[in-house]
Amino acid sequence: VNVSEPTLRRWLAVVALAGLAVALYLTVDRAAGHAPACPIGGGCETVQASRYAEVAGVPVAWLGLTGYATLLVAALLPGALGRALGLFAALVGIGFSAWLTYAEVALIHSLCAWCLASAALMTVALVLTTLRAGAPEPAPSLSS
Amino acid sequence: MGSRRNWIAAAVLSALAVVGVLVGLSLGSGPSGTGDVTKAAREATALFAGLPQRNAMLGQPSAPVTLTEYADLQCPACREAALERLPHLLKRWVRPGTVRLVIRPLVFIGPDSEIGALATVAAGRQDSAWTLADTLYRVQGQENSGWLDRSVVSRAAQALGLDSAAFARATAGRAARAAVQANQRGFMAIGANSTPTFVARGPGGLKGVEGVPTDAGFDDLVRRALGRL
Repeated sequence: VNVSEPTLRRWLAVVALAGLAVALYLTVDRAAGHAPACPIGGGCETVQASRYAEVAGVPVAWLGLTGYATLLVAALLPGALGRALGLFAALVGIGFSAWLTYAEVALIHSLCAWCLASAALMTVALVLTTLRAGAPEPAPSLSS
Repeated sequence: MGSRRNWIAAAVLSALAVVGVLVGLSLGSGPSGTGDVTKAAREATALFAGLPQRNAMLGQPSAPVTLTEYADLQCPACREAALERLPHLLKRWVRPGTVRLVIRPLVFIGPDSEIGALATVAAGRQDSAWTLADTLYRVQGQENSGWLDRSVVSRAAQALGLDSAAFARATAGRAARAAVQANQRGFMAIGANSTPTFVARGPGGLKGVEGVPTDAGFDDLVRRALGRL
């Protein structure tokens, strides 16, 4: 695949913003004590009320906020640091999303469309950050 | 190129470590293990096997005596009544069709009691109020320690095979809140000030007792309500 690094960074920023929106919705909804509106299926309430919706007392939606915020920072950061941070955040995101999706299917027996949307966004983020990790370094600027 | 390989390896390894920690914490969190709730649900289901339940009611609808329990799922005495006295009551009076039981869950011990009361009412919508309350008594923790939360009630409902989505909706709904408020008013109206309080109504009139009676105490209460004492 031949996509330039600036393009990959722009797309990563778009994915990170979409993920932030999903995580923010779930965070606000949880704080307000509502059950999330479930666009597909009906498992969001069950999943949000389950023990897997928190990690050591921290709502999973907050972890999502942190993860997507890190991806956004990585998209804005140029160079090896941005590439490494993006790859790291996307790998953590995909790993934990895989665990949560497993928990939804095998342990909670309910699927939450918002959670699956987040898992899909993380998958795209992993593709983008992997491509970026392998992309050629931008040519050194002549003006410096 | 060497430096690129280094930072990619660093990113992958640290991500693996972080995911491991997150999954470990996710598995370990929660005030009590899922296994406990599953076992408790099985025991509760066995206790009430074969008895009709309808909304907050347990036993034959035609039973001459209605024994109402005002209870708080966080209250240790209510747990004692459920685990130590209920089996006798069921065997001696409820299964033969003399007594039907009604549970009126309250918010009495503290704020955490509310989710337990709402959940009991919500389980009643699926004719499982007694089974849910009994399941939760079996995993009861210290008062106001946080054991009674949305997670434990939803796990209990799940272990009992209730419709999880309908249960979650009913727990959060206005009707459950109104039902709990009505219970609070009923509790105040009879002048009770401790949980559990039992009120028996039958041909012999209205008889009440606060606290946990002995087996013989329950027998007396039922006989008085029947007008036989």
